[in-house]
Amino acid sequence: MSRGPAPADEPDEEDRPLSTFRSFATLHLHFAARALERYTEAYYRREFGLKLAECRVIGITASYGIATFRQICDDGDFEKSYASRLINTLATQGLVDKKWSQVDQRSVSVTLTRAGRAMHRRLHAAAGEIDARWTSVIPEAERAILLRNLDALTASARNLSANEPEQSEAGEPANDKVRSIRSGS
Amino acid sequence: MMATQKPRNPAAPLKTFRNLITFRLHLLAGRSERHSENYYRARFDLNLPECRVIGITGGYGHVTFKKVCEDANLEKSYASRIINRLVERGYIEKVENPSDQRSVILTLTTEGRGLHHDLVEAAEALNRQLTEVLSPEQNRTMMACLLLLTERLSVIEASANSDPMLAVGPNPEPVAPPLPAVGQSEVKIDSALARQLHQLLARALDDAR
Repeated sequence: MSRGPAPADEPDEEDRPLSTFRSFATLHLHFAARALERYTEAYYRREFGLKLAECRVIGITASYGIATFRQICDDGDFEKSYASRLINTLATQGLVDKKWSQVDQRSVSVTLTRAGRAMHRRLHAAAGEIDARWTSVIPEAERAILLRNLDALTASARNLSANEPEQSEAGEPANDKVRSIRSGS
Repeated sequence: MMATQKPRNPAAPLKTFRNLITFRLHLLAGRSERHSENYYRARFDLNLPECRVIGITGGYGHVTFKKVCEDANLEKSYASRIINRLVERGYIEKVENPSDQRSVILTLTTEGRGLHHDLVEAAEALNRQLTEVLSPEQNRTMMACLLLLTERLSVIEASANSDPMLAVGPNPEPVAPPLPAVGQSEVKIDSALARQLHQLLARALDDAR
C-alpha cells in the first residue's frame, strides 16, 4: 500500500474528481427502491415475522386465487430456486398450500390457506398504510401519473432485458446476483 | 345499540397490492437492476456494485472506505471483497490515510479513471434507452418524484427510529405531514439538484392544472 496525499490537498489532473452518476434516473430509482425495501423489510419482519419476498408471494397468490409457480416467479421477479424456497417456507408456516397440477404433473399451483388469507388482509392493510404515508408528499392527482410512468418504465426495462443476453457467473443465476446486491450480502 | 360486525366471507376476493406505488416501484427497480447488471457485465465484466464503487470513488477523487460503504449502501464485508477485486484488477488503489492510520483512502488508478469515463458513457446510454418512453417533462417529473419519495422515507425512518410507535401502525387515516424543507434531509442527494427538481415538479403540476 502506498502513501497517498491528504484528501484536502490541491488535486492535480490525475486526482481531479470525475463526472458524477448522480444525475442518472436509474441511480435515483435504485436508491429510492433500496431505501424503501430496507424499510419495509424491517417492518414486515418485525410486525409479521415475514421477509418482504414472502409477503410478495402471499400478495401474488392472493391476486390469482390459484397461482402457478411460473406466475409467482414472473410477477415477483424471482429466480425459480429462490421462489421455491419461499413457497416451501410459507407452506411450512401453514400460510399457503401447494398442489401438483392435474394437467401437468411437473407444475405446482399455490393457494392461500385460511391463515394465509387472514395474513394477506393484515399485510394489505399495512402496505396501504405504508404507501399512503410514504407517497403523501405527491399530490393525489399526480400519483396516477406517477403510476403510469412507473408502468411505462417497467415495460421499457422488460423490453431492454429481452434484447440483452443474460450474463452471469457460472452456476449463479443473474437474478440471484441482483438479489444479493440488494441485500448487500 | 352496538352494530354487529358482518361476518367475513372466507371465499371473498382479496385485495390486490398492484395499485400501490410501493409495489410498482419495487417491480420497476427489480427489472431495472437486473437489466443494469446484465448490461454492465456484458460490456465491462463488472457487476453493478463494482460499477457503483468505481463511480463513487471517481466522483470523490479520494474517498474513505467508510464513505464508499455508506454511499453504495453496502455492508463492510461485501464492500471489502468488491474493493479487493477492483484493486486486483488494477482499477483502484488503496493509500494510507494521513489523518487516520487505521483507515485507508481509495482512489482510482489511471486505468480506473479510463474505466470510469467509459462507465459514465454507458450509463448515459442505458438511461437514455430506459427513459425514452417518457417525454422530457415526464422524465423531470419522475426524477423529482423519486427524490421527494426518498426524502420522505428518510423522515419516516427517522421518526420510526426515535419512536417505533410512530412507524407505520394501525392508523386508519394517515395524515400527510408537511413536506420537509429541502436541504434538511439526511438523504445523500445533491441538495441543489433536489431543489431544482422540486421546483420543476411544482411547475409541471401547475401546468397540468
